[in-house]
Amino acid sequence: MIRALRHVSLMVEEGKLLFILGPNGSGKTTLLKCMARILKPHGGAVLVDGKNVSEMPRAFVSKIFGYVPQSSRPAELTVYDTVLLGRKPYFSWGPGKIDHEVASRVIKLMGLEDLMHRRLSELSGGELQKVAIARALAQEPSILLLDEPTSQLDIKSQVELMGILKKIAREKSIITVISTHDINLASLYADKIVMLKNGEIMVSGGPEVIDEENILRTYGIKATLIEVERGRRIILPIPG
Amino acid sequence: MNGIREYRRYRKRIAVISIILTLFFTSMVYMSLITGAYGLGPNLLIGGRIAHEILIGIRLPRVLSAIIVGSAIAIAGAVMQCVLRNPLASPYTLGVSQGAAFGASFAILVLGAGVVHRTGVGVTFLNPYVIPFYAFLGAVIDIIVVLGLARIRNMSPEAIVLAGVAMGAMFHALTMLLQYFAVNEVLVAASLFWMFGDVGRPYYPEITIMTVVVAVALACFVRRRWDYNSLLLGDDVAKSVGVEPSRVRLEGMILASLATSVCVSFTGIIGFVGLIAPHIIRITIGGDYRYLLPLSGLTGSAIVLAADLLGRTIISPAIIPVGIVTSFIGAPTLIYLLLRGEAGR
Repeated sequence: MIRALRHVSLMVEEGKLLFILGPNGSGKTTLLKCMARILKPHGGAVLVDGKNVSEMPRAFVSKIFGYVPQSSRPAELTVYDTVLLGRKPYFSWGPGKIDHEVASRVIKLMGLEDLMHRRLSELSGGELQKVAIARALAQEPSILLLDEPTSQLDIKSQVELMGILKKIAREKSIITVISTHDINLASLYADKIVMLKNGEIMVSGGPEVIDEENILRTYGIKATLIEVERGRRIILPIPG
Repeated sequence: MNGIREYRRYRKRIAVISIILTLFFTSMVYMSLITGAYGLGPNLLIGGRIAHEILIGIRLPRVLSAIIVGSAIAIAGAVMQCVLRNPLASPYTLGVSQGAAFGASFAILVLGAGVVHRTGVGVTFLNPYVIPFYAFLGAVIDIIVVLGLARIRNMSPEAIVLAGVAMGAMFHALTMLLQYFAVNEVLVAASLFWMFGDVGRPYYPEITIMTVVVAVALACFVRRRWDYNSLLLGDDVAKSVGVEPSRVRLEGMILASLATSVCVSFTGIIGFVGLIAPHIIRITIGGDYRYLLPLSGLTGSAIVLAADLLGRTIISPAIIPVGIVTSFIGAPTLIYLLLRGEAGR
């Protein structure tokens, strides 16, 4: 048995964006999957507001957590029906009027109207990612978990997506937890940062915790920070 | 708006396919009822006592049996392909049919349950329930072993399919072994004859049993249609929308296998329908299980009806069992569908 996570405790305010950083195998995906009850921890528990997620019914967990995996399968379903699947925790036989309204609203919010009735198999990687986020938002979660949501997006789409996520988080008071390898993106958009290594939190705090020392401790690589404008910084790794 | 136009086109395609299938199905039902060694007139309600007896006593049970078996195998195939994430999954590839064949051969060759006599047109089984019972038992043993292995070893859906293929091969070998060592040639012929699926075997009591089992399974499948759609997006997504993939998978496998086992135990092996019917629908309208399940059922019924009609007319008055015809039609059709699918990519 591998101990993937140890003593991980996160405190985030509503409407804020929490970024989880860390090298490959540090436990980022495991942490998100445990939170969404996709993985059941062999030991320990995931507590939300003091309640054990593993003891909650799955449909109930789905109303708390919306989960977006690293990659989405291009199934033979339409975009609309995929987003409507996000309403599954709310219906048993079939979706009702409210479910259709929520799905339509989320599709509009994500700018997917023109793709609404395309099949997923006809979409690009970036479009698929947007649909997956729309599906998770249709669950009307209080906590949105995104596993490397920008990994398949070009730089423009990355900025657009982060803007949408920040706007939604603020407007709907959703806690948004994003795991990523993109330190610069995290530095730009995060309200809070957690850096993981070997399943343990190395450091947590505001975006300012991303500094040379913590990057070295977490990733084992030297980096330099360059101030560009009004406190905004870009982080460059130093080879060798 | 572009999206609305695409949506209308999509809905229109589903409607057109549904209408075409319904028309084909209805014409097959009608043709099956009027066609045979004793030709019935186009108006089925007019006719003498003999015509009435042929219609109610021979043709109708045959048609009902074809409808139920065809839909059961096709829908079971569609469900198995989803829950096992494998387009080649079907009651046939998972060894259910081979398990049933072994059970039937065991009953005929070892237990002597298949007391047979040769009539002018083929072999008639005199004991109607012992053979289906053992066929059902063979199919259930196959399911229990495959699902048991999956449960104990926590096997992946892909490994479950391979376990099914292995079990099917083993049951086939056991059946051949029984036939090889059998001393009575007529009984060997009977066990072989059982394997050639035939929708003419079940009568109203058996059809009632098949209908009840298939209806219960179908109701459960339809209730799970959104769950199957969620599985298409992967287990992680399914879990994240509140679906328990392992539960859906186990329930789907048990119900699909049971519905098939009951049908196959009464009719014998009818291959390829469980593979090609869902693929025809998937290629034409996509993989949405809200439409895939009912339309696969309709396609499966229509295929079995058409195959039976062909088998009854091609060298009339002799009858080619439907299982042979479906395999003949099914194998090239499947290759064509696969090539078309590849070309379309």
